[in-house]
Amino acid sequence: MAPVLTAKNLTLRFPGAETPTLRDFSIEIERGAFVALVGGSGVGKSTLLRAIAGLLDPESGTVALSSPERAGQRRRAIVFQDGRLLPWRSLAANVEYGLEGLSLPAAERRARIDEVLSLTRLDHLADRYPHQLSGGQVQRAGIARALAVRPDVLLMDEPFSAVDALTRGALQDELLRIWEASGAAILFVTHDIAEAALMSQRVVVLAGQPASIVRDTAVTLPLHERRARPGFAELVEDIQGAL
Amino acid sequence: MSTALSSGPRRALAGAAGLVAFVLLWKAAGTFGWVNPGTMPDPFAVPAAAWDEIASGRLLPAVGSSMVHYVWGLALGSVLGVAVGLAAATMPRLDAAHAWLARILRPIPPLAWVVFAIAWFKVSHAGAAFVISIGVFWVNYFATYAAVRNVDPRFYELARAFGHGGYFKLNRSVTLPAASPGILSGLRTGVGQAWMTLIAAELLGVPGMGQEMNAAAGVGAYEAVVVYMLAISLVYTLSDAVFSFFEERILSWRPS
Repeated sequence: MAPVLTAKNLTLRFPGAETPTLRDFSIEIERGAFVALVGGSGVGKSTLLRAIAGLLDPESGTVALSSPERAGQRRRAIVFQDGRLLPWRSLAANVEYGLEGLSLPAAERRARIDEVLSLTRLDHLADRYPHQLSGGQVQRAGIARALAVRPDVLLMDEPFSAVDALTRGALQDELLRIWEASGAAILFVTHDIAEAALMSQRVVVLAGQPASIVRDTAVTLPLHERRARPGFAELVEDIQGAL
Repeated sequence: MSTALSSGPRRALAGAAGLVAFVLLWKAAGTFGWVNPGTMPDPFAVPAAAWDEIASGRLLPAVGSSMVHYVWGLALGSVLGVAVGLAAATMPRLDAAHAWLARILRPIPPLAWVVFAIAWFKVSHAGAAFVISIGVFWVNYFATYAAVRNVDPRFYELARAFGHGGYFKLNRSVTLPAASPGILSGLRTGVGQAWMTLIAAELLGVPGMGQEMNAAAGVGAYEAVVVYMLAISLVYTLSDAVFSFFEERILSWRPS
């Protein structure tokens, strides 16, 4: 499969820092793949994701998307750790915010909003304001907003780290369903190894200072109900060993 | 609060009792000669004085005249204050260029400008509106500047992530709504601030409640002075209520 996104030799450095946060990072993400990026806190995962999202310039290196941007599309879309809804907009209007940067006819906008709200099962909450939503609903809204721009790659920055364990499990299942339905590739940043092993097809481990890839493992276990499969615990342990 | 006084009727009763106690104390101060009786208005004579001011056709035109320069001064000061505050907070060069000027002009009390108000506008609504607008301007300028500076930078990152750019577009979609609670609270303070300056601004001779008050005081009609004081309080309370009605509507997205 051809890569949909290629990052080459990325080096990232915080302004004024002596050593870079991340050195010489390269990755190819295949079309429709689910790749997890794992590492301890402070290793630079979120910074890397921002560079890949085009929100921050690397010191050196490039990020390239293979397919040209289609009309009414954004090739990359990001889901933030904090959900980041605009508090003065209703849920539907927050989803619409993602679409306002694209010049879409009103009817198409409306249709896209309905589509992603039903995909994320939020249709009944469309008129609510963010403060009226639960943590899990806020995260699903952030996912809906990102999906509405029909991205080739969904960049997710520890999206489930701020919700309780029960909600988290539900959101993980939900995301897998959404991923299968949408066809977008996902680059999923997490510090939780079990979460990475549970959801992804490939786990990339970042460690060190400056950080680099210390492990890149394909996960071949069947996608659903992995936890119960023989080999899952060993996989998690194996990744843990690399950190 | 779980105290009995927090319940509606009891609280109203306590409020009324406080008011009555105050009026009695006031009355006593005159009756028992605690203060010079010639300068102490009689609270029981205020209703008659109010009727007098209305019947003689002085009160309502005075309120109307005050409202003219109040509204103009408030509108001018509010619009300019918000606009300059927004511009200064969002344009670093302008911010740097105007910083010293603002520091020099800010401490000058609005009433100090009365001299120029008379020189430039003569004794007119425009002069009074000018003086009122200065106080309102600074209130709104500072409120807007601070509110815009405090907008969560993560909202701008979100805007960039979804392709929202352009100075005016960002102001409309992020800066103004995010800063609206602070801006609105500045506008509301301005509504009050304008009243504070208004009476003094009218001392330059523009017809209005301040001038009537001054005239009444000149002939020792202190009950009439109280009537105008209460009229100001009433008009302020009404304008504040109107404002907060709209403020609540605009900020309905906020958790209560």
